[in-house]
Amino acid sequence: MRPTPSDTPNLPRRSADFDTLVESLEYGARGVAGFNFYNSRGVLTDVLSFRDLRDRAVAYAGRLASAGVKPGDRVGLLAATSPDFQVLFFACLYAGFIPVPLPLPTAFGRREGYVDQLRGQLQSSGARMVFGPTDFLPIVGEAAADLGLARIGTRADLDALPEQPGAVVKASPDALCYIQYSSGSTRFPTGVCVTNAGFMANSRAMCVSGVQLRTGDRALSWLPFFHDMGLVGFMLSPLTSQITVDYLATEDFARRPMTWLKLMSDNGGTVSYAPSFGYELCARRVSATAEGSLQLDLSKWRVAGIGGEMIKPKVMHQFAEAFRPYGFSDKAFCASYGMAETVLAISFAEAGTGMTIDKIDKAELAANHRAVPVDHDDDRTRVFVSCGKVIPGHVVEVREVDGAVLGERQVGRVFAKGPSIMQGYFNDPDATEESLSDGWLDTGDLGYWASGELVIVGRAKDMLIVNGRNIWPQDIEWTVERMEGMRSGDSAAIVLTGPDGADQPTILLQCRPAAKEERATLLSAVRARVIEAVGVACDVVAVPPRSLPKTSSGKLARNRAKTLFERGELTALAD
Amino acid sequence: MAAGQHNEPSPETFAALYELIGTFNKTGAALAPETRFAEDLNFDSLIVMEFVASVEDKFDISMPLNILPDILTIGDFGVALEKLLSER
Repeated sequence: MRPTPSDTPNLPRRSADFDTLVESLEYGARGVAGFNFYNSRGVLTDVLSFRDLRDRAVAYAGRLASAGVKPGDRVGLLAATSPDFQVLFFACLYAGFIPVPLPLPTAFGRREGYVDQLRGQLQSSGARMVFGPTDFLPIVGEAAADLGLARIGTRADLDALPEQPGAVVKASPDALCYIQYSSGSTRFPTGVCVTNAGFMANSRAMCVSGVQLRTGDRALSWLPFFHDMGLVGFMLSPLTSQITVDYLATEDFARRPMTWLKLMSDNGGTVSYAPSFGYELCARRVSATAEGSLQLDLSKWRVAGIGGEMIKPKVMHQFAEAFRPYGFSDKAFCASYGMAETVLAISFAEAGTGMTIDKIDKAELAANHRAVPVDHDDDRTRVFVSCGKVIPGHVVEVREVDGAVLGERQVGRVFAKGPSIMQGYFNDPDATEESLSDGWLDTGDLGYWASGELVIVGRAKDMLIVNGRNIWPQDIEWTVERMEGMRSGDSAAIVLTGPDGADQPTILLQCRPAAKEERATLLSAVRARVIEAVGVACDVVAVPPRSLPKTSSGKLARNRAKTLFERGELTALAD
Repeated sequence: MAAGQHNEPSPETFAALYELIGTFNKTGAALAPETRFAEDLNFDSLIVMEFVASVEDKFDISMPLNILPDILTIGDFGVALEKLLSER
């Protein structure tokens, strides 16, 4: 077996200038590029050229039709890093079915949380069928109990079915293309509707002005296909530019992070992305080896993208230092900003220039919402990385609470508009209305402009981001509520800023037990239960009964609780 | 998975697991078959995967991801590990 080459001779490069994703695959199939899959030890296990992907997708479009899928039906696909996922994803696109990438489990003992998450996404999307690897089908069955799915099976189960003629239909650019569930809470998921036109607008901006893909580029990814960065950034976008991608499954990266870099080195990878923690894991591993003792050549790595969570500049510097002996250049770091609601990216730093750091005064930021630059770097400073310029054809505004548009270095809420903004959340007019107004997307993030570049400082919405995973405070609070002796509204999940500027997920817990020992037991039980069910290690702080603020309608006023706690007006019970 | 459905893991399996877990045990919790990864050892998903990799190296096996959601305790892990070893 040989991986597909990086170069596509005799096929002029086209950069995402297609009407539909299917059209881009038809074009890519005329070349020799494709997708390659490696195991945790860096051994090639599967090759799927764009040509094979095309042929197999067409065949499975017919088989899915034979299985009873109708145009417009949603088809859930467990998004394992595998050719099967890609084949069925495109099979759906060829036949006008709507693929819904579904997550895989990731940790010990989180069966219950995972089943909830799957069930939520199956219900929200109204999927008619689900396909995935054999091993995961029992748990899908559990999640789909009584949902009346027509079929739960593997790709291979479809092999026996005939290819129904006429299954392939021409998609319109404005038709719904796929549904992406990287936003929304586990219990109350919201699926982003992506159209061909919306997708292509974003892909074009990323390929042409963002990453600036060129002949000889080769991408490598370990990001999951159920996330926008993995699906859009490293499956669909490279395809629209006929770029070969090498894959390492996410769980294999987590097991052996250095395989990422070994593959970059072996294959001459030029483009790869990770959240800060991916770089951190590698920097940690390499610190245990003698400098220069690894067989690595990272000199071809042109774009080392960072995204998915707040960028930690210190971590990035450690990575650059650790891998400088292996040819890595910190000029490769490329920050960007976006979300599934914008398909993927909405702003991009200039590729090849490295990170632009902005140091600002912490007190001015907190008190006056102004980003005042400072020279010193100490505990009075917040350090941010610029997320670059807004992608072509799109507009971003930073707004005051009253909607007034803010200028340079004034911190406000970030709104975005343009052709890649989603049409809405699937079957969820309320959530759509909350996020979209006159075509403007409320990103829920806070940011400011610095010399025409966008800097993101945090979230106005309540979401927590831990190791690149979006976590909704409602999911944490819901878990706590269901514990014995707890009631609705007894907890508030918030994010505090630790002394090192890092996010610290925290639970404010209304505590009734007066005895200290009893309270300590309760706090550690809550912490453990939340780790088990949601997968986040939180600080749990006991506050007095009835001390958490409520809205006029009796709901928890989470942001108010956070403000009161930060100001010291809501105090913890003594240990 | 209930431990009763399978044979108890051998003392050698436990000894090997305790040794590997020791590297990641930042809570200092006592290690026993009923010790829970999340609650008692504070293992997050990244530590879980690092630990799994160390077990794979030690026993030269590959652990499928789909068994993870059913594992709560070191005992559960021992049962799953011995099952994998016996199928090798």
